[in-house]
Amino acid sequence: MSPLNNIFQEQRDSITRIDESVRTRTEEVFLLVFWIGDEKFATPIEKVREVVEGVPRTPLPAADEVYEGVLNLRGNLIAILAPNVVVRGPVKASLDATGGATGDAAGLDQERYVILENGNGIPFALRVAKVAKLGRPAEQVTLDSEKFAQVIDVGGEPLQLLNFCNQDGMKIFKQRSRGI
Amino acid sequence: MDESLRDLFPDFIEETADILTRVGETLKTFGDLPSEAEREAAVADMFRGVHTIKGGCAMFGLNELKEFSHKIEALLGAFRGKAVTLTADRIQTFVRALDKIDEGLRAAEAQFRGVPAVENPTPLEVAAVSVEMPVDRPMEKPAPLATHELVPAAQQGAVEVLRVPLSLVSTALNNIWEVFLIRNQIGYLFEKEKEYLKDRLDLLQSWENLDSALKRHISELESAVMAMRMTSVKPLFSRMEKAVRSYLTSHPDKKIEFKTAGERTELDKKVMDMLGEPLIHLIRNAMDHGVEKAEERVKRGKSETGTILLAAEALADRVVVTVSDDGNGINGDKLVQKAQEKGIDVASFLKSAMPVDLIFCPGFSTAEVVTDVSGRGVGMDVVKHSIDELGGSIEIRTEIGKGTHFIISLPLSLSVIFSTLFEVGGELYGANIGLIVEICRMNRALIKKSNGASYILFREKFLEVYDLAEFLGKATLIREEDDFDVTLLVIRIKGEFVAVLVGGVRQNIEIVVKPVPELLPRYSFVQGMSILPTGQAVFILALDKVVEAIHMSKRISGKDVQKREVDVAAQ
Repeated sequence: MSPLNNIFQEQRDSITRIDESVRTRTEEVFLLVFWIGDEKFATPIEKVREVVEGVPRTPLPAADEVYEGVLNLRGNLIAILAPNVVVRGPVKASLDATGGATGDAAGLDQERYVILENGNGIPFALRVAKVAKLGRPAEQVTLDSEKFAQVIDVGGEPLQLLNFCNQDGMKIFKQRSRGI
Repeated sequence: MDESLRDLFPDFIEETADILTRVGETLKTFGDLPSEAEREAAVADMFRGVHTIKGGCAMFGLNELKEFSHKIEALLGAFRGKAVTLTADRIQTFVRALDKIDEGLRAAEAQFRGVPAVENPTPLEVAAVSVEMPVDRPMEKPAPLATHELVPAAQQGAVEVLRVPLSLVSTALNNIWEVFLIRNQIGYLFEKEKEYLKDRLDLLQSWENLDSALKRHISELESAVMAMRMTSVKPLFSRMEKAVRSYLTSHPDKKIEFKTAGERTELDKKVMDMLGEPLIHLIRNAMDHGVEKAEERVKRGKSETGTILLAAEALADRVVVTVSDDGNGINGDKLVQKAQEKGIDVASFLKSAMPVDLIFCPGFSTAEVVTDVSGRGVGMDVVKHSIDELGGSIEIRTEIGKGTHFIISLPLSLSVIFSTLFEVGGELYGANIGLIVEICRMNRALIKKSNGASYILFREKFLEVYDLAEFLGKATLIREEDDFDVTLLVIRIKGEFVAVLVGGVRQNIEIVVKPVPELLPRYSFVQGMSILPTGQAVFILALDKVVEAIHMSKRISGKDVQKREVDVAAQ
């Protein structure tokens, strides 16, 4: 290839790279937004197995604030983790004594669960008040695999993006799973 | 190792373990063989076995083991050629040589799996076993394998065997259980809507016939696949025997005869795999702390050789494995003293358990000398935990100076059980019906309280009553002010009857026990979960463990510290 052709080729490659970069920036990724009590969270939708309603819950035989019980999802038994413990810390799930959600969830006549999976592909359920789908430009939703929670900007409002595949974030359940 | 052979390695390990067990068994019974022809056949069989092992080792690049096997094979060849007589001493040497191969294979397997070996193998070249033996007369070249000796067993009229990974059998079994559950749910729906079909008797009859056939076939299918997972305890017992031999090699001051019984007893493969470690711990403890040194035994008027018996027996839906020794026995008073020194609430402990049960407390050991084999103060709690995980129980019977029995009761398999469904605090639970001796209803007023515990008079004896509702964090059913009937499940724990108070019994039903979902805590008193025909998921409680857990929670809370010495009958 002549030196001149080399220059043309480099220019073509450079244009392709810019084009790909522009396309990536404009790509949209989808998040599942869910409410726990009055608080709003989101997680990448590809990590959500499904959202179910009206599935009976079996409570654990021993009271434990970390676990809400078990769901029978078409013959598969799935652990229900307490949402306020999963999202941890300052978040208050505002659950009343009967386990029903208050705030945005008030008035719902049946329980709604988001079925997610952790980093090891193990499914678990979180009881949520309501859910919504949100599309955002990919560049705004760069998931940091090192973090369990990060805040993203949604129209000037902060939204907590949770990464359930983050091992540290799920550590509390590992510790508690060792039994009493 | 050649990458293309990696998939075959687990099969090689399993097959070699089978051969070692078979050859070991042949060596053990060799002296009892009545005829020369049988002895010759036995030597030929062992020769073939070791030859196969050697070939496998060569294929997988285990050169050291291959060379070692080759030497053993050569010696067996000498026996076949009658250059050497297989005496009792030489049999023992062979047994030790097989142990070395087994040890080497376990190390190779651990390396293959990328896990540390449980036992550090001694290098073959410095092994205590010498494969050099005196030759009675000039050794002939080993007789070549006759072609008929290599004919597959199947062609010789033996049962044809197909090796399949356990995971495939487990998948098949899980699917059978799913079908079982679905059939139960269809049956439930049909029963619920039956009245709409009361004019269609022909349809109802057809349904019942088909349902009955389906149930029968599911049951037969389940039994067949379950049988595939069942395996005799013999390889496990052989492993224990090897541990004893290995111990005795390095402890010449002890003389122990290791006996086994019930080697043909079968257990679920998964249960068997999980039983290995706790069992070896018990055997090591028996050798180290149970059986006395030969000199000491003679001083005590005992035979200088101690005995350790490992026995298995199938009883209904359980298998009982016992480790017994005729050694020191366990001194309960000494245990109590040690426990007090460690700050354990002994008084509370003794309300529900015997002093010997203190050895199951974490970090508890009374061993005077920490040895290389046992007595590190860890282990017995782990043994108990492992047995609990299997849905089993462990009991100790001991007599000072006479010996100790560790009695392990295990479920035959982890599968379909008959369960009693009962309600507590508005929730439904199940329990294995095999544990329940009797279900009775009686007026609550008949429950008497004494020193924080509750009792009922049942068949002229006072039984302690355990309130399941209170344990599960629900409103207690023992309320002084009310006057109503309550339901009691009478169960037997370690020979003693106790009563568990529940809200009411719904029905007895055949259920599949499923594991508790991952991410949830493992409670010792939860045997598993099941899905009822209604689609409802329920927890299956191990009632004996519930009683244990109630005692444990009382100990932890420190609410109940006084030793109960009140004669309840006097109330």
